[in-house]
Amino acid sequence: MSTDKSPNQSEGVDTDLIKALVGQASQPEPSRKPARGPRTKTRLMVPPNPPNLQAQSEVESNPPAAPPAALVPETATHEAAPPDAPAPGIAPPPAEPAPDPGLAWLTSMACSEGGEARRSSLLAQALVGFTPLAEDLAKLEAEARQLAKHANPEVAGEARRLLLRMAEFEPSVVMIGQVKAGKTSLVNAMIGTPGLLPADVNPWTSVVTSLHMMPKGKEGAERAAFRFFDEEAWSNLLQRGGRVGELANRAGANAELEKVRGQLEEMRERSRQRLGRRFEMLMGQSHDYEEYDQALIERYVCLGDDFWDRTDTSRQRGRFADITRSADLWLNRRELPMSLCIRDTPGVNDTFMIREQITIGAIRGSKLCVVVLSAMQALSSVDLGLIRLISNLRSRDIVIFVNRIDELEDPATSVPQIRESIEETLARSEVPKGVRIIFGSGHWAGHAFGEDLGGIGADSANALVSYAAATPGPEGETADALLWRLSGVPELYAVLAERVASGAGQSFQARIGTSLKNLTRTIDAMKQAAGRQGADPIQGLPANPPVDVTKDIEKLEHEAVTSLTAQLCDARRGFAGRIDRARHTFISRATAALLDHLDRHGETTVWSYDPVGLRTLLRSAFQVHLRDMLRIGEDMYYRTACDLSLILATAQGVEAADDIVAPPPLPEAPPPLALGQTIALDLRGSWWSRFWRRKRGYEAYAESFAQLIEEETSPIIDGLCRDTAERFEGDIRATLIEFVQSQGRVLNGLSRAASAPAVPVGSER
Amino acid sequence: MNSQVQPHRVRAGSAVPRPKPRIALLGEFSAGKSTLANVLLGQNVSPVQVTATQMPPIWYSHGKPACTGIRTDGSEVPVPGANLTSEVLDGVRAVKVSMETEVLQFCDLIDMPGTSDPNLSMPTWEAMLSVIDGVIWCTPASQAWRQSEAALWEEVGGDLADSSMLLVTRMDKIADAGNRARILERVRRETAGSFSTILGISLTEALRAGRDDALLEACGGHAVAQALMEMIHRAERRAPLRASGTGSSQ
Ligand SMILES: Nc1nc2c(ncn2[C@@H]2O[C@H](COP(=O)(O)OP(=O)(O)OP(=O)(O)O)[C@@H](O)[C@H]2O)c(=O)[nH]1
Ligand SMILES: Nc1nc2c(ncn2[C@@H]2O[C@H](COP(=O)(O)OP(=O)(O)O)[C@@H](O)[C@H]2O)c(=O)[nH]1
Ligand SMILES: [Mg+2]
Ligand SMILES: [Mg+2]
Repeated sequence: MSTDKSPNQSEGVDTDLIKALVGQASQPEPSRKPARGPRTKTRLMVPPNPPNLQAQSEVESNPPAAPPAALVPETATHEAAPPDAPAPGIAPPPAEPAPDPGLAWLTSMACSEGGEARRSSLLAQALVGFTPLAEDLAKLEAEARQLAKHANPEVAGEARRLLLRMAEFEPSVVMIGQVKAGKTSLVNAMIGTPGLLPADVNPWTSVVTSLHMMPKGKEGAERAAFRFFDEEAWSNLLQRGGRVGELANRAGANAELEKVRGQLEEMRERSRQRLGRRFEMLMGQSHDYEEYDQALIERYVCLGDDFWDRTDTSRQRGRFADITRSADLWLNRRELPMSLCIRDTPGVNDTFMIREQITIGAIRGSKLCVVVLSAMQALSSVDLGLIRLISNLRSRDIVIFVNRIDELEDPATSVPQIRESIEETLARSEVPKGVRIIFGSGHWAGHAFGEDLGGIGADSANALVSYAAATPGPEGETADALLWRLSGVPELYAVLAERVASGAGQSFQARIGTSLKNLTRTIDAMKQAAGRQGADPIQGLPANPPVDVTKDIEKLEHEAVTSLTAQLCDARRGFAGRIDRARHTFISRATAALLDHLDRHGETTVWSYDPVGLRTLLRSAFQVHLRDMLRIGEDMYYRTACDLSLILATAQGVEAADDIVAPPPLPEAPPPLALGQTIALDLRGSWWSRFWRRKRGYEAYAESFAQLIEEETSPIIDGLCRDTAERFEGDIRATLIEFVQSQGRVLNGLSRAASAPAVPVGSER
Repeated sequence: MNSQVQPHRVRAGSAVPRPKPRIALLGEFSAGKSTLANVLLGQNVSPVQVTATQMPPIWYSHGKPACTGIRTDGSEVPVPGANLTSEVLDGVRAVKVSMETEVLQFCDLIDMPGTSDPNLSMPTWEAMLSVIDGVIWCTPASQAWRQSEAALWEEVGGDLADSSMLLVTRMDKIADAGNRARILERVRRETAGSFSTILGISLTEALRAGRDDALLEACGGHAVAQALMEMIHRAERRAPLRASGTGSSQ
């Protein structure tokens, strides 16, 4: 090709140029950066004067006067036109063609009485899903309450400990998503107070805000606590980079950490200047309030990008937001059957990337995540990166909420299309199957509580009409109930209730249930023993010879923990071996593929290799280890329970039975978040191709490749071992120790009571 | 319709050829690039949908109505009636559309596939980008200018800054005028210097406005048209400064 072809350019672009571009692009080229060489251009001629807006057109078909944007679309409709007629199956709008048919229709519908009553009934209706779990927990609580009245102080104390744990039980849901997806608005609607947390059209939330909802029977003071950063928390922000950017293949991902560091330093410097001496004083402190409102919250959790440049009048907003690390608000929600915490987070993918780092930190401690997407751009590569980051949580712990469906012109048609597109993309990615996708609108939900339903806006009301027709509700549904249902919030709550029940709820119930059972069984066994000797130990009549099982319990504890530790240690060695083998298998497979590529294509074309295999190998190695640990723990718990039963039987002279004391349930394994970390091969973009281009010579490739994998996988493996496996080992051990000790306390208490009721607790005879 | 364009045939009677700046419509998927193309062309040619449109770049230029798909190997596929559906475009890596529409007398328009689409392969995108003269970057008002856009523009924008426009679309979804202004203000501050113009528009309203001047003014269409012409002007002025030749692809 040469520039001489240019004369053809006056009529259409040179097709050859497009062909060249297409051909060029067909070579493997993982870098997204266009070749920065000379830009190609088919002709080099100084252009004549630019046409002005009134340029005479030479084309008859287009009248000349109008600027380009003024051209009339010739083919009429774009997508579906906004519905201007009611869809079948719902009440028709007024006969006159109103200017805003959706609004007219909505306001013509019956509406339940506003205010507190409506809010309460809508919330209660959405939250019913939590009732079964709440009832189960209430039964356990009643049982514990009964035992807490027990005459024996150790038994009562043990029961009170359990009651305390039940009072503290508060499953949590963390809401994450891109900046301005509508998380805060959705959270506001979910808690039934639109406007409590400040929302805005520009990036705003900058602090993880935990809303602790206190249910009926657990009401308390509605208060607020804001904690400030300290040095350690700030540096943690940088350390625990979750690397969403890399997982999302976001441009410039390799330089992001540097950028975040820069932003953080700048922010701290400016905060320091702004707050002067108070800066140091506030570090690590917290501010507590007996009451709160939106303005107060705004001072701590909202940060606009112009914050430091603003003049003093608006400084109250976000007054401390740049140094606030976390916000906790407590609110009474009698409609809720049990305690629940909802966490609002700063958005990811904002240019102020500190927000993203803060959110990633919040995900780590959370088991149940709602990923909020915007219907307008559902599941972009950043959303997918975020989902991949948390996808090592089991799939039941991720829910996708596609927000802002009110902004779709025709949700009835678009929602199924969007769903299909999300499902297709998820199926193609490494994300576990079965992620639930819910559609809705925080905007609709927020307005369902208000007096003026028409406040949703004309376009939004038209969308509502279209959507209502496609998803008919119950007979006689009022306008507010319709808005609430189509907002998706009730459905979201129903799914969350289900997942809380089968997740955190179930394991908590099992743990408390076993403790209670062991407590009653121990009491029963003692009663039985005493009964045989004609005395009731609980009544405190002396019957048995004095028994002190402290020594036995201590010995048992020591032996059990030693044995458990030794076994876990073996398992860990096995794990390390498997990891090593996995790494080698992958390296040799990949190196073979690499050499094959070099043989065939030489070294000028860039090679890429899918790292999925490595992750799969690591994941399965980890799963084997997890199973090992669970088996060891289970076995040890069982043996310890038998031993405890035996101690009890011996001490009380009852018939030896293995099963007086039941083993506690195993703790839940922490999710292997480290597996979600990026490895260099994921970066089809800049990093990897630069590595490629730097290297010369076949052996160099193979060798540095192996080294690269070695280096890149080390943090993942460290993460798996330290953050996940070792933490789990610790949990298994802690549960065992707690089990033995609490049994010991009760046993001792009861036997002391049985042998010497008159003597104060704790003294020996 | 002449579906096969003969690139090497010099048209009899054609006027002195004029170079036309190539303006690429860029942005994340669903930002409104294709809607904008249709607004500018005055016809619905670019397919528009609520999910990511898996469409190769569509290169619009002035000429007798024709539409051709181009495959990787350079072979051409006629697309009758410019009906751009995925079945027709199987294996096609770029589409060339000629139309006798006013705007195309001033520039070529390239409707690009949206970025941030997890299913997008970037190579065609990059190749196309290497030959363009100006950019209209579309970003939706409700989530305007996020890191994924800013970082990508930082990588590819480079010397295009003075012939590029940032278009904040979907302005109709921001009900409050004060909020619309605040969004533009923030985006201006954040992109300082990397675009020559920043404007807001409601593309759906521009489409509906047709030739109604008052409506076009209200939705932001007029300002965009004006800015586009100025941009073309600047792109033409800077064109000779750039390196020559199409041969850089080897
Ligand atoms: N139409 C519509 N607007 C919404 C919806 N959800 C939120 N908005 C609006 O979108 C803007 C952003 O909402 P926020 O709730 O602040 O979004 P966010 O995700 O919390 O944003 P950051 O905290 O800054 O990341 C506000 O102006 C909301 O009123 C929705 O479902 N529909
Ligand atoms: N309300 C509104 N919708 C828009 C606007 N611009 C685009 N859309 C809608 O956004 C969706 C995606 O538009 P499209 O042009 O296909 O985006 P592309 O992927 O960037 O080409 C379509 O449903 C459009 O109708 C706008 O300015 N206002
Ligand atoms: Mg927010
Ligand atoms: Mg498009």
